[in-house]
Amino acid sequence: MNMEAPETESRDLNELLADIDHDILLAAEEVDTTLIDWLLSLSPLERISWTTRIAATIGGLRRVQN
Amino acid sequence: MCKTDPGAGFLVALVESKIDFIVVGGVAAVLHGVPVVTHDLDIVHSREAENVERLLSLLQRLDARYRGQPSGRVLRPSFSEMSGRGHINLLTSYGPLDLLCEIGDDEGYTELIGRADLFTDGEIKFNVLDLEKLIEIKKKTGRAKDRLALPLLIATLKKRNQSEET
Repeated sequence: MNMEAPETESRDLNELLADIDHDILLAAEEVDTTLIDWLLSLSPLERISWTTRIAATIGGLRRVQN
Repeated sequence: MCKTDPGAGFLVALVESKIDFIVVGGVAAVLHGVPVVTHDLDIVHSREAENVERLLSLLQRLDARYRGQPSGRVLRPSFSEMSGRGHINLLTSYGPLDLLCEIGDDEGYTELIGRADLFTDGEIKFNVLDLEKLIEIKKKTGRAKDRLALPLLIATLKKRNQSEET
């Protein structure tokens, strides 16, 4: 499966994050990136497929609980 | 990946129907690698008449109807509604679809296409609102759920930037 090649202009990250609450920025630093790494290793449509399946599983768990 | 998978199949159907659209919202975040769970597809569509006609035709094939209608009542989207303003919340054979005529500061397709990344997967190409713009929008809403999502979007952006530098 081909991998995507997103085309973006480069943005100033510091400017983007300048007015965000400090606690949100701290939380971003503490994010476990394992899932991010895994998703980035997939093709775009594979990312959608997997998250659709996860959403369906969560939906199933809710129905069982209810 | 099977293209009849509802999540991916929806995007493929839009592309194959030659619809001009930009993926936004949770699915856009997922496409950028953000680990969030989302239940519906949000798109900003071009409101050019021919594009709305193509989209309406696709939605008819997908049995699209407004969500939240009383039992037994089926209300379908119309050309005028899809050409206008606001958000159109639908249920289709592929699942929930939100057509957003504009988002953020009244930005529609024309305003947002310059902030979209072109994604490719095999022969399928589609536009996705860029991750920086997703962060800008979530910064401004002030909603609790957007504040919760921001750390994941920011972490993903930093991770992606690191990968591009190496």
